[in-house]
Amino acid sequence: MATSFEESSHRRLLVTRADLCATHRLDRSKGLLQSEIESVKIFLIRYLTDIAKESSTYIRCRVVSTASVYFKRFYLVKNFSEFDPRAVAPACLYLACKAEECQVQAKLIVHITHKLYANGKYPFIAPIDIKQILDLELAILEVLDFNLIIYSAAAEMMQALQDAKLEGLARTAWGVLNDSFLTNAWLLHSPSAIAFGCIVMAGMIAQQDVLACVQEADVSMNEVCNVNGELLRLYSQELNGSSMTDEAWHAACHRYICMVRGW
Amino acid sequence: MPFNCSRFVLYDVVGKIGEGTYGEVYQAYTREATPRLLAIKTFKPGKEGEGVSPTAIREIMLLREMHHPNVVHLDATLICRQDPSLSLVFEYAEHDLYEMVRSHRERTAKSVPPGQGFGAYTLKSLMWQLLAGTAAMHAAHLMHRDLKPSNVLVMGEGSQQGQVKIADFGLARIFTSPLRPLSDNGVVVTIWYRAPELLLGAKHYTTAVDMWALGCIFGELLTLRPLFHGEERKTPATAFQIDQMDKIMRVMGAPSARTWPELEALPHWSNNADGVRSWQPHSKPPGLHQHLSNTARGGGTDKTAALDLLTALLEYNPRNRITAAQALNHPYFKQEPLPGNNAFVQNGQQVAWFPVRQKVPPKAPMDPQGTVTQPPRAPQGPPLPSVPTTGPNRLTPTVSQQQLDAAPNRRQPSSTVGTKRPASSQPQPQRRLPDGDDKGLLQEQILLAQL
Repeated sequence: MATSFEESSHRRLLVTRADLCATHRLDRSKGLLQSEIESVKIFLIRYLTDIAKESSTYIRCRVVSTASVYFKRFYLVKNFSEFDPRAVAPACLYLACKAEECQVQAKLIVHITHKLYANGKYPFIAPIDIKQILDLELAILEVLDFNLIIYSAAAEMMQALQDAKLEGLARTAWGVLNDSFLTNAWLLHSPSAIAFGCIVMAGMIAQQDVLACVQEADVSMNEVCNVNGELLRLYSQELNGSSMTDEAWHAACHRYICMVRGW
Repeated sequence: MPFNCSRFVLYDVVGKIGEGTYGEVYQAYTREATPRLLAIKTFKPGKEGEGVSPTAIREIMLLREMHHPNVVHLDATLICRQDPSLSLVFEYAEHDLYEMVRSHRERTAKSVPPGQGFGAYTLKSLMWQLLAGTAAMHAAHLMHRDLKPSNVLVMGEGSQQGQVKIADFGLARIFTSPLRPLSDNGVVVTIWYRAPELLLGAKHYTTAVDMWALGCIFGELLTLRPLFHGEERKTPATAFQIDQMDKIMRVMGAPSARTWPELEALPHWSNNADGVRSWQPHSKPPGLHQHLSNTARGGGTDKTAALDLLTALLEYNPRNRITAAQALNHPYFKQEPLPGNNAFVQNGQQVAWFPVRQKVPPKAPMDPQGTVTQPPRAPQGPPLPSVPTTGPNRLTPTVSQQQLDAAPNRRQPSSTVGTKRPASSQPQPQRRLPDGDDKGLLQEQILLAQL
């Protein structure tokens, strides 16, 4: 992390909920619903997470988080119909590796997309090629205007849990934090608010009282609640969709993407 | 905001002003009602199949977060997806410490007044601003890792005249919770400015490496020569350079575990690489005070405080080395003359002059082998005119051109990242000079098309 968060580009680039509603105009004009857009994004952030997992030792958790934020920011400006999200997601991961000082070769990512396609894990996502990754890297840099430093919430979250003697919640809270990258929380709220929002969520899951820990923190309660709301929305969506098999869900997302990009 | 290729024509290119391993630098005007002078840095394509070079990404993303009057300002980034290519647009700085030191050295050699090196006010103001910029970087958890005179720019005429701008963040790193250790980046810092802990192979190092470099720069401003002028051994390209260590120890004596306990843990020291441990001086090391009292030019008559600061910057033990924030509070900066924001103007009076940068017009023919195209040696140029205390406050470019041509264009060795770019680790001339064909200002379209 560079300068203090208040002076950072990360802070400057946070948006409001109204800004979010104004995105994907082109996609929506082609008939895609807001909820379908969100589904596609969750689908593809899971995809880039799986690419990182396949690379096991090479790509770390923080890089995936950073890549997810790039991906979300990219589609604040662009539409699925302009840039295929199935290619933008791995390109975001490739760029995040460079920005987080653990570069991987483009061909490694290409190789993994081939693997995930061939082994049937992502049968609807055609593998990317090197030329595409490198072109999209520039496109992403252009859209993000090189604002690549993403602050982390992990250290603050763990510190707060430790200070409140809530270490028992650490595992759950980590899990929630990882899920937070599937939501829009990172576009809307500061890492501090997200850290405490995740603690509140973890408390709800583990049925532990975390209120004291959050009240002591120097963070807006309102924001923490909003983060919590984002997480709740994500989890209730997952519950609703839990009757759906992975395959059906992939097929649905594939259908949404094809709706704006053609078959 | 970034520009599309079609909008590259927003600039009128004046000429090439520099070249390095990363790419080239051009001077250009914006096409605005009141044109602004800018420097456009173009990046060579990175490794085949690996897209934008990590160096460029690192530099730009860090500059996006740094806003300080003594850190160079990034005006725009130009991305062209068709080519593909990438350029950065910076505010233009007419001078850098490397050229300023050289200008003083030549004036001293030719006894052109004022030939006594940097004036006390100018020297102190430069150091003060350099420390202020460094303090801001370090406060932002940023290590520069390649501070050297050519990376310290100084603004020419205009609203920011005499202001220091720290540039070239291509090796900079954020040092809080890195995912990979800093040493993974390989060799950092050009050898003359490389701190002893780096020379001795430290895997973990701190912002103190920047402070050592500042000490070396300070010494160079005082003496007009690199303070520790080591010969670089190119193969293997390692951090350890016995000749550089030798140059330091000749002045400061050998480091000792008594004042620097961690010394024993440094690999090249503990395994006595090239006999560094058993090094014996040919004559008694004079110490920094004595060494600089003998060689320092300029900087005013009272050098005690200056040498005291220099000694604090060049402390062997990185833990005890002065920090940038502490250095700003050093007595040296509390004494008259007090440092100012314009290193060239003291109390409304211009006190320092430097020649303007040499510009190579666009489309300079380049040797395909990449070797230096030497210009026809100019006959011994006329000496620099003695500088008037009033009137036009810059030297004419014609004079400076001949001056520059007359001297061998030897640059400092550049630093390397890793061992994969050994070619850049040797002292190399960085400016390619034209075959003398002056084309003027017309080629911007062609050039921009090439960008």
